[in-house]
Amino acid sequence: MTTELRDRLADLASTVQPAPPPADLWNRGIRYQRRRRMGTVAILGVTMLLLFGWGGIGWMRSSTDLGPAGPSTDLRLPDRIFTPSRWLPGTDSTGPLGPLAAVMQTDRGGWLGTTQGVAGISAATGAYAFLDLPDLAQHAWAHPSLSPDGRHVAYWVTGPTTDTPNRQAGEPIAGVGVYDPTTGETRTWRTSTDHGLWPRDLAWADAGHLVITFNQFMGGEGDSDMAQSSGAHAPLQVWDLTQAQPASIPGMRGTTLYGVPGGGWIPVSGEGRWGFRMIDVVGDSGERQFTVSADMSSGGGASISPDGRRIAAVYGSRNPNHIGIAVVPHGLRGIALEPVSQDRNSWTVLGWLDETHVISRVAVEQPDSWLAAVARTDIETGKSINLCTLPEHSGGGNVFVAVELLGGPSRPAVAPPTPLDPRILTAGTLLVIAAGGWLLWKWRRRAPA
Amino acid sequence: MPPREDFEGYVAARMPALLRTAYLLTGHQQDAEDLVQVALLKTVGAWRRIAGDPDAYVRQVLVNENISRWRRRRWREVLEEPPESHLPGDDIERRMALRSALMSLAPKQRTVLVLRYYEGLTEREIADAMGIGAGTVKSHARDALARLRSTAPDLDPAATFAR
Repeated sequence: MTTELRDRLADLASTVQPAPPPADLWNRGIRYQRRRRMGTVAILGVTMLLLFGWGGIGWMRSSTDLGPAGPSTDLRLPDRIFTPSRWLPGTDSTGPLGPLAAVMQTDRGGWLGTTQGVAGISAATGAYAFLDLPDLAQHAWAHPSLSPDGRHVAYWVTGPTTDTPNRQAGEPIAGVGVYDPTTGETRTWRTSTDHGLWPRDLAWADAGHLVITFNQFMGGEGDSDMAQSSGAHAPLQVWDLTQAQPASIPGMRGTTLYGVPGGGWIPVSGEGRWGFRMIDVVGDSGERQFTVSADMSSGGGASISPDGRRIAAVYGSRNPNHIGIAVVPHGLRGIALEPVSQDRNSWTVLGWLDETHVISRVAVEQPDSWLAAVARTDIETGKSINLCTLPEHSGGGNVFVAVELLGGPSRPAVAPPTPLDPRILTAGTLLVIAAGGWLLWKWRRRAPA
Repeated sequence: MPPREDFEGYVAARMPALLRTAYLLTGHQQDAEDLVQVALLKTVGAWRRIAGDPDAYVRQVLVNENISRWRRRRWREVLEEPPESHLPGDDIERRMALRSALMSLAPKQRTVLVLRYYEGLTEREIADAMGIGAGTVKSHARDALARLRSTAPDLDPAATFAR
């Protein structure tokens, strides 16, 4: 096996001059090992310190001291609502928030991008969290709705279709979920649909009755653009939450809801251009039909007073505008809105606080823009008081408040936390670990002194 | 035997052989002495664990330390004068030629060549010592021999590489 190369390597190696064993090698080796161990511990310690520091920053930015929660009966609306960070934690990690003062439709960040989320604000503590709603639909018109007492959130859910799905606006919608923010549980109703539902309105007639209106898409994938953009009227559904699922209201197909009236009545579109009907969906009073003679803003909602004697709506054809009040006549007679001399304009009537106070979403004029607020207006004097300032840039249309809480005092608002983007947090953590690992590697591989 | 005495006995017995291998790896007398010293220093901490068969561990530290040192100090890769010799001029030239050829190799190629043809290790043992795969050992050996053919033409390829 001996080859010339092997012989010549041995020959070359034999030219090295003999050297005596280095002095005190054992003790030097022991000292080297000790220094190496201490260096390793120091690098690991610094790395851990950096990791804890970095994690602490993330934790501090994601938490907030809201103070002790009041008793469960002390439910209030905050005097201001903020647009939360898209990295706010979800209720799957924080736990249920309890009864809610408001919900807000807003962007929610994820590892792969942004989705449409629903943030809730606790009525007991003012804390914010994203509601982890199962099968939440991403359709642009799929708005959630908060019950007047803040104890239920209705939202559109995705589901299977019997024919080709219509994905023009995300996964097809097949029904409605009702989330209980106290228990974190969801009840879901899904209806049979060929291509998916076109969501129209979710509104609460009272704390226990949800009104649902939607159309059925006429076409799905592979059908014409016209079919995919068209919808067929579906019967209006009312979900009595004591029942397992909603029930259709006979003859109520293709109706438009006019806001949330409270008291079990809902205003829906009527026969004439300006007419609308009040439907008693809770009791057995049937329906009352009125014809609004003129001057009712179609987008401003309508609401009947607790005593059933008056109707409030946004006056006129422009929006925002003053609130208009009409006395409900006996029988099928036309009614006329009388504008209130309001000191500011309203976008939408949200309901009545009592016989003389109407709640509405009002415009707060700024030098170069409009802000929105929820305000209480005395219909006799026209004087309005802001109850809750809504987030800037949203107009407040994406915020849904628990109307029953508007009668009580509000809570000084605390801004929600602003957590770091977890992707940055993770990248930073990995960077620290990598730097620590590299330092450790360099340290352990260095030549002894 | 106490570990210290055991270690010192091992150093006394194996120092010349380790020095020869280190010389082939570094091409420098002084660097070879430094390399052996560092490898033995780093072995002390593991001595109790490896005392039964320390050669493989010491060799592993030696080759890895040499590659690390080369990365840190590659600017020192210059040839020094050969040790004094009483050999005829032809023999000195042949040694110089082989040393130059070895130093022209990448450190890993040189290490594979020394362990394979001087130490007589198998590919598996070389792979374990260097912490690389057996396939990588083969490719390093192949590349190293090919380079030697061009840089040391006085080596007889048929006799040298026909293993």
